[in-house]
Amino acid sequence: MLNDVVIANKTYAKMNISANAQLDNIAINVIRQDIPDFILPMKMINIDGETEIRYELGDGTRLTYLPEVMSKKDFMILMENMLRPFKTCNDWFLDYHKFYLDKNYIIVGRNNSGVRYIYIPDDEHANSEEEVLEFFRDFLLSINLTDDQVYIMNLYRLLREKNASLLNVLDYLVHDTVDSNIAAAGMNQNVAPVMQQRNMAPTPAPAPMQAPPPVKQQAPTPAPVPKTFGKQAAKSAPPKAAQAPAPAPAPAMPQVSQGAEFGKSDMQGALISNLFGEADDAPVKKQAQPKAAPAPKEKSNKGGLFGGLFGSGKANAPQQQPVQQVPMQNPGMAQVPPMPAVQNPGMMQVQNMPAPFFETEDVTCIGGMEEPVQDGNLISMQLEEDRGYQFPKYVEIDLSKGYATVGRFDKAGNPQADFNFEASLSFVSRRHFRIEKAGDAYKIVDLGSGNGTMLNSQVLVPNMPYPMKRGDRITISKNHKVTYRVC
Amino acid sequence: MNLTIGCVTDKGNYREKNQDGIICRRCQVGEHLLALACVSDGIGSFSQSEIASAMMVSGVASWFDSILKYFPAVMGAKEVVDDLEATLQELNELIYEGRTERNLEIGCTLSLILIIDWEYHIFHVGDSRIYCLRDTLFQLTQDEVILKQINGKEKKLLANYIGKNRQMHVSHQCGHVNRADMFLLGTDGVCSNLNYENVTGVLSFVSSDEEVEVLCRNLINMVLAMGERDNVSCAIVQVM
Repeated sequence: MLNDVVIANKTYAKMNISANAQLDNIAINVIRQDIPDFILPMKMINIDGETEIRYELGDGTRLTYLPEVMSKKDFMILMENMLRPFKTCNDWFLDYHKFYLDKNYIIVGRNNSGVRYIYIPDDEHANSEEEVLEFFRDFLLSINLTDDQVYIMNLYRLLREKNASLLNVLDYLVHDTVDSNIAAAGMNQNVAPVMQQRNMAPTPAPAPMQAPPPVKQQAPTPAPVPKTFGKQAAKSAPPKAAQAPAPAPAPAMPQVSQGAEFGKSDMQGALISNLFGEADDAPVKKQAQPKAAPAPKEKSNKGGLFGGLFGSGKANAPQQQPVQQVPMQNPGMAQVPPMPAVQNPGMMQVQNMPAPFFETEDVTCIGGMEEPVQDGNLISMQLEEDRGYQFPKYVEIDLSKGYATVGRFDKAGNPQADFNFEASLSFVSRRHFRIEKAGDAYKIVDLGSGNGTMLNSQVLVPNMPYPMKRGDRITISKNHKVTYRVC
Repeated sequence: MNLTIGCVTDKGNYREKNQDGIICRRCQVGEHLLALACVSDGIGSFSQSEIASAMMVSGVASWFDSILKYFPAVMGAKEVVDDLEATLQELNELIYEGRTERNLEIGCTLSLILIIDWEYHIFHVGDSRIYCLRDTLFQLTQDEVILKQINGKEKKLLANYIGKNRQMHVSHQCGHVNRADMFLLGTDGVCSNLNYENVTGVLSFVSSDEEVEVLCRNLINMVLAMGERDNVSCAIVQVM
């Protein structure tokens, strides 16, 4: 129904609507004039009696390009951003049944800044309630949480309930966010799990929980630290963060909302006002947390500070000219030993492959001297132009899950993509491009990289799939022009 | 041209731990000379800010070591500076994510000077400072603070720091280095006590890195003797 087009280096999705279609003119005016932030901008063009609607996909990433493996916290933010429009659209005279529910056309803003949908102002293309729920059920099943897969199942069960509603899922998400803030603040919880409470309807509300410090309310100060100047001034502790605020009266926990629809809710007012506080996790609110109840000192257990700070590739650095180094680091200060970066398991690479301990036959192979294995799930790339940068000469990428992202380790040594270049190559984005399998052929998509991707010297428009075949040349960065040839 | 460098950090006499981070590096690559000095002051009211300052200086040190592979054959001075800015932005994001997603109480300032031959580049966030002692003492950076009346007293509050937002707001300036310039970097524990007289009374031109480190130590001792309660860190880069 929708087709992608690139016009003036921007990606649009377009569709045609027949001339006698009954259009929702109120919605069209709202979208054009008020520009809700959860709807993609659209233009309508009449051509020979047919209406063409163009949606500008803009900045952000298609939902289909997001990694399906994520942390619970990232998932909760994403899910909340996806569901919020379904609640607020009524306020804009929009009908969520007309959201176009296709992962390829749901755009996730950068840095979890929100989700935007295509709105089709035509009754003919509206989804039924069941289709909306089915979309989210399928979406949940496609997600793997690294730290709490049971959470996905709980949400899925909510959507399979007899009178399932996305509002319930949103409530569950929001309450879980509040609960985890309480846990992070180290305060006592005196509530049953949310699911258990929902199943207790109609029962009296459980004992009110001790409210956390108002992390979602307006914070009083924009600056976190009072820093006193002048030697005479006493070094005072920051006044605002030092004292634990008295707990606000807690809102009662919600009853199960049987048959609640969007726009209608039997939630108590206090809960509603707390539901959609600040969208941003603004730093000021975090600092309002009381120091009297310190957060659990969760340190990364990835082997060193934040998974090991920087340490990939330095040992093998060749010196190009005589170099006289004078490391000057004051002893006694906090030392952070760099850990060697570990390549994401499961990705085949010719370099750094350990030999098996017990060999029943000689499996030694020399890379680069034989024909690459013609396996549809493996795509090989050979370095053609390194421009002086240290890139691996031969790369194999596993497409067994249908796609693979290529990027680099972040500066803390954590892998950010399915295949990762070393962290020191700053001009490679952490998630630079993606290769997809399309039948017997391939596609390449630039994931909004900072320096761009080129295919056969053509600069790729971000978020737009381009057909790619063996023999094509992929150039990383328009400025640095490191080029691989697809074997 | 020759550069001598040194740095010292001290917990001070009153604080339980040292939340400052400091680093300096120098390298001769062929006929090119590079030097880098960076101070990072962990925000005192964040209990784990030593993590942020350590991340910052470690990341910068690692960047400096890695860039030597590519300068000047592959990357020119401009590319090096752009790469440094991208690295600082990424370190900022890591600290921001640590603060917001892992609930770590971390944040820090940053004052960094990179010298490539006769050009210097300064990246600055927060209220640490970089001075240049030339014919007089110039403060090259501007404190990113706001003045506020609290309980009838005027207080300076930090307006910007590393990890405050996902997108870092950093001030970047560059200039030309002259022979006999001396660059002094310091956290606010040091800088709040400095003026032209006491700086010139302590600092003088010396010929080796060890002597520069002695100068830093003398400056630190002077500040501590004046009753400073904060962590104190300073670095000096001399241009000969």
